[in-house]
Amino acid sequence: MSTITPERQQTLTTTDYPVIAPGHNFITVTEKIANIVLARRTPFGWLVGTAIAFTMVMMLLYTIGYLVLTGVGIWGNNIPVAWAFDIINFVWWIGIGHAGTLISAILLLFRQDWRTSINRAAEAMTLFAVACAGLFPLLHVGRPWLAYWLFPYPNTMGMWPQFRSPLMWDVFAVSTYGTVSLLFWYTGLIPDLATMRDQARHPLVKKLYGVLAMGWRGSARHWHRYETVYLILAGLSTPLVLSVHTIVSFDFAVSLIPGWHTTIFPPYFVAGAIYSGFAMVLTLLIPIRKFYGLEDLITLRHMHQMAKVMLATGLIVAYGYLMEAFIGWYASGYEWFMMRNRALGPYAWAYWMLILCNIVIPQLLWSKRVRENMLLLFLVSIVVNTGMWLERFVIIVTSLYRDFLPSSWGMYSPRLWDFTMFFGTIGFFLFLMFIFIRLLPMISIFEVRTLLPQAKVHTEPEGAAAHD
Amino acid sequence: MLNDQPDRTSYDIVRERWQQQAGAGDFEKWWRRALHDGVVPDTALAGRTLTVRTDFAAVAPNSAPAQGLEIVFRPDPSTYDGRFANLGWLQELPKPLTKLTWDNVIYLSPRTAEKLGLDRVIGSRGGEVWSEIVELRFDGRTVRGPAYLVPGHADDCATVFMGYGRERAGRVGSKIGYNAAVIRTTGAMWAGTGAELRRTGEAYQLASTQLHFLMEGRDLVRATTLEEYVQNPEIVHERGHEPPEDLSLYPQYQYDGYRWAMAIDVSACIGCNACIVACQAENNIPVVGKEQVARSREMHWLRVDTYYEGAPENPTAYFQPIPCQQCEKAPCEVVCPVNATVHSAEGLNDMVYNRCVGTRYCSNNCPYKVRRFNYFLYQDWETPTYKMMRNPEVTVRSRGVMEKCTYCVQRIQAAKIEAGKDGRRVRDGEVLTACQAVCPTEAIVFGDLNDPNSRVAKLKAEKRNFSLLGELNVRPRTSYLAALRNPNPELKGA
Repeated sequence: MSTITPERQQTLTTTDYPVIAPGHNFITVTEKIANIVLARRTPFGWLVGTAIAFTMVMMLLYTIGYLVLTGVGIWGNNIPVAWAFDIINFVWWIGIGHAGTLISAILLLFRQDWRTSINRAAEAMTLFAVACAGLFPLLHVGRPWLAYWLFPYPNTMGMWPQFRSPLMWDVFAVSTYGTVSLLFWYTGLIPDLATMRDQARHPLVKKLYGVLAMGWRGSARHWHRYETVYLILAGLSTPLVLSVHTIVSFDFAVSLIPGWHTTIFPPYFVAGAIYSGFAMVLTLLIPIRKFYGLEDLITLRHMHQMAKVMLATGLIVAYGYLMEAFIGWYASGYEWFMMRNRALGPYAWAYWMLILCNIVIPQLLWSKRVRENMLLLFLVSIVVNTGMWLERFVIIVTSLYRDFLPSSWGMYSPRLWDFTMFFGTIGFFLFLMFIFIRLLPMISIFEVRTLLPQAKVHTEPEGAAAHD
Repeated sequence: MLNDQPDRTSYDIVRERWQQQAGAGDFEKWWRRALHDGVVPDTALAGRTLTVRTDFAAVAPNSAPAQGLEIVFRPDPSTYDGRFANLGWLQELPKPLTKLTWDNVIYLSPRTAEKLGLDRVIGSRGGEVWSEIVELRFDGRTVRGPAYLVPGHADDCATVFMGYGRERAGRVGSKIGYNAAVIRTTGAMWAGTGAELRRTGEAYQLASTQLHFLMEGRDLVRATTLEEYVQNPEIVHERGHEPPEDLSLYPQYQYDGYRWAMAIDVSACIGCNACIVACQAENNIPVVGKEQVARSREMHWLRVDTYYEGAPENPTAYFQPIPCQQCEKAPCEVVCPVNATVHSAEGLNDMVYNRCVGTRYCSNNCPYKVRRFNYFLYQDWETPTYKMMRNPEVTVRSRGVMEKCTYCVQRIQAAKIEAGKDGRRVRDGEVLTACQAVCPTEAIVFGDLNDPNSRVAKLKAEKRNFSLLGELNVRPRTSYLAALRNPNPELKGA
């Protein structure tokens, strides 16, 4: 094992791709990013993409309307499989959100400079994914108009919610997550909103960004407060990266159903969440950086790092599957039956597809050539997204459909409305993403400026002196 | 009254007849004596000497038909000869051996089906059961209906069921199933030979409430023979492992008043389904229709599970009624986020419909899967006559709400009010749950465990008593008495 000495670090960093392509200065960075929003005419591709996404949003709204008017019976859920696409999609979307928070909070605390060019888009993705995720627990209940009963609020019934229920914990976990993510994202946007205000020429646009910038003038005091708040929010978000999906996994781990009642779920869910989140960031950023010509700001370095995070979390997830199978065998009885039934029963195709998508295919990421081939990387990210969706399908459906009493075993098949709801949220997600890249700087302007060599002039000697 | 002597009483007529029979002597004395003894001396019929016919086997009709199949006509277990075809409750009542609803089928033994190439006739697509339509030809007439494989059915025989295929039965019963009467003639009222069966290759959807009939090596219905049980009463518990009662993070409940419980004798259950219909009538349980049953959304609070054990040619069948087990450590209670299912002071697992938002988590966490969810608005809230039909003591559930067996809590409350008026406790046997009240074999017993002399307390003290899935430590309040069989040793293995 070779330890990483300063010399080796030097060679590593010099041979690796830079986080920002050479040739940029403060002005070019600002103009490049701000002009995507301000100066460029709306690209035709954007219009087409938004129109498709908007159609899917309409499909979602139609489904929701029909659902609320008719009942959750329009889906394929039944008894014993009382949760299916609804909770699969919820967990999938929540998981996707985790990459954004990880990138912006944990990597900030670890001072990873490569996070800077991707955190804005990743955080936006988090917010939109949480918005999609939030739709499912709200609408999957039998009487959505009473879903507010899950919140602890003073009421004439004199009732509290039931604090022993993991669904209750979910309410707190997800609403906290949504709130903190929104604050974190917006706080990080304020200096850039001021830049946009200053760059904008149209008075109305100027006014709009001005209001959103909340009077940011860039004074030293502003910066000081900004840095403090941002760090505090990062500190608050960091435990959330771990806690939210842990609590989501409790929905299953706390129950007694074989296949759910598993102590490995919290770490395995968190790893899976980050895995799928990074896959989604890649799915979004690879086309975005191509269409907007951002290869100099989102460089191969970023792609490498994200692919490596995926590879690592993917291996943790693989370990999770292995342990699940091992503990099933070790526990024997119902657990072992469940495991064999998963791998060999009528839904075995889902299990093996999951192994293929989440374990086998992502091993391609060991190869540097794959990590540098954007098309392949994009395809792998899609495969991982699919695999992570299948993982939740396997956990939820193949645990429920054959539990303790063979007399109550059933089968599950999704209906048309399960798909319109699912693809509807994908449309909603993409729609929000399109709006975001059109109206807000998708890369943090002021943070990317700190990556420039010019920005390091004053700090370098001090740091060097401290080391010597 | 019907003859030409309206003034004569029946007493006179009988007396006159015996006056002729009695012969000489004092008739009055003879008559009084006969009435007192209840017998007229020396009037027994003379015995007849009989000899066994040894050529019986040769004269008897051939049980295995020379060609084709034997055909047996049976009334339907739910709709009888069709007179009940328009009753939704009975249409949706799962037939005891197949759990099929809303259809009649043609029973075949697995071996016969295999011979006809129908071995893969039963498939499932999603939660639905699919079968193949066959054409049954008998006595020059044909009928088409779905074939169905039934373990234990006689080989080379097809059983058809009457009660279906009615053209004008009404809103519920019209035009479902096939009409077996089409091939039934006075020549073969109940059985006949020489039927032919032809495959058509057409798939047909059936709706069944149970898709799997094997216990998979799980200790669900415990059964033994009387002989073994007498020798070793612990035999019922040998395979089971029940954790100690205090193995829980939550404190034990205290019951100062009543502690309701139920015991179900698996030996006594004959799978007649009366309890299911009684429950449905008592508790305003909706009929959901074939399509919803096929999607595994039937609403019966009580179901009777059927399990087959042994060879498919001659299996042993067990029936096990499953109401809500009213667990002491109920897994449904802890996962409901809005407290819609809670433990009562008398040990019941109460469902609060008004509070339920319908997350369905309770159903997922129920190891017995006895909870039922209103996926749609299954109740007809508009038709006035249905309002008359319903039990006014029981809430009519709305869409999006979970429901399940309540141990007929309305009957418990009524009995408590009656007892309260007299200032006494509810007596044993005063509360009969709907299922218990109709059970022809008294397999279901309900009562108060705080009363050591109650029938249910005594049954639960028996060694035969076991908890279904007791190893999960959910402490079900409904327990089962193991099935005891007492086979005649001479018939054993026959």
